[in-house]
Amino acid sequence: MGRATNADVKRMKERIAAIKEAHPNYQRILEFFEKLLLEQLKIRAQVDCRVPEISEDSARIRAKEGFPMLSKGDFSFDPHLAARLFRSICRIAKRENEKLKAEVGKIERALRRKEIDLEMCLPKALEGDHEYLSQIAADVGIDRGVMSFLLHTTIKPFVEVTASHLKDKVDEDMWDKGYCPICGSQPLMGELRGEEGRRIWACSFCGNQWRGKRVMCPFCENSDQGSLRYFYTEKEKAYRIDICDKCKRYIKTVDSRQLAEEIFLPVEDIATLHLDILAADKGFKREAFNFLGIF
Amino acid sequence: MKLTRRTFLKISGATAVGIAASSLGFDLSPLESYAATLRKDLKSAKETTTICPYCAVGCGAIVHSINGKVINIEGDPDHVINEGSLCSKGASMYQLSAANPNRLTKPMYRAPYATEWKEVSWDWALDEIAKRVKKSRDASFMTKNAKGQVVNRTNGIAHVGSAALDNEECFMLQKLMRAWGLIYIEHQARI
Repeated sequence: MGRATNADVKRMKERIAAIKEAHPNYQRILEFFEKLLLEQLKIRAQVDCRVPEISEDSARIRAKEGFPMLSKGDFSFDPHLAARLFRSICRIAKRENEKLKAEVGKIERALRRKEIDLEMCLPKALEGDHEYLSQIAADVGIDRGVMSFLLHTTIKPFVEVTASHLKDKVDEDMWDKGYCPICGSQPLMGELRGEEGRRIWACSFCGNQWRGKRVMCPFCENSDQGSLRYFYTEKEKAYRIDICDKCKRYIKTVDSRQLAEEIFLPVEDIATLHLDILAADKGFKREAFNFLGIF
Repeated sequence: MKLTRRTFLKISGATAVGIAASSLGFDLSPLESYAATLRKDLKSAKETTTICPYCAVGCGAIVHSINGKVINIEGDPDHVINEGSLCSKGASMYQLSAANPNRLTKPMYRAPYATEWKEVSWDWALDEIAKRVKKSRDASFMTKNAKGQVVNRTNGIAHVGSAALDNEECFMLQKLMRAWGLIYIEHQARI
């Protein structure tokens, strides 16, 4: 979704409701996720971000060489709007469970005491400076996972709006890589889309979706069909776990041809955590994390 | 730092590493129980790209298999010729696999005036075909036509090719039929 319309939001809510009904185990986690998404969408409508100028020539040359259009530092955000979203997310998170209540409380206190500076941390999260953020978390004594979750959930709408403005500049015929043509990040989840079953990857960072190769590991670009497999169950035929025996990583894929409703890949990713558990069981690793930061 | 493609990949690959494993306090045990119920039904399948065996267009297909047994065949969306679509014949390729219980695996014979088909051995069928071809060809072979021109042909036999034949098989059959002197050489796709 670029700028989500009311119809988009309605369909997303319907999909979440359908999953919750089919899988009551996912009720809590999806309700929480839905609240976050709605909060992000609210902010997204107000985001007026600076989109980096990229000439067609430069986009073509970068794509030809396998470089994405932007590096993470090229994305920007409005500090006031971001601070507002950060506070809303803190408010939602604190109500969710004891752990979040305690950890978010600690982070809010540290912010008040100026032990953490949001305007410093958000750009670091944007650039992916994990060492810096780990250090801060350790210094102040807060959970690294919770801090990361709050920061990334805050910057996401800004990043997604920027990416949606650049989407038209991606030449699909020039790009069949396993990483995002806009920001260079790894895919969060895959889809087999349309009657022909085109392979679509959804970016874990900027939310962009791009067309990739059907039979290829997006992480190590292995396309040897002897070492690529997928796990599936008859009970959930629309979902599969694509695995690479060479690099031992996996990515979940939803075959949307087998589902009646419209799907939203970040939602499908959360609603298939049990597949992550099965993949981890089999000794495979996940590359890009979702908001929960697990597996 | 000079950013080469390799260092770039190293940087982007590092993004996920720092995020600590955490479930944000959510109780995932119900999901673990659910995963446990699926564990024994987990199947491992393979995708292999191939070319449709039928006509000369050469459409690409993806064959899904488990331990060598075909479970599904679909058009290959990355194939330059067909971009994922298949004609109705190509889409039925799955019926060629061992998964189709109606697929014939032995030659069938229906004797003249008989109403039932019966299974016969390959040896019997091939000998019988050879015998009848020889008989018809000997009886109908024509060295010269009415104008006295050399034709070396037989009008007593016709050949109908199958839509399931590939290019190479068609090539061989064409050579064989021409060598026998057939001129009525047809293909099922034109009928």
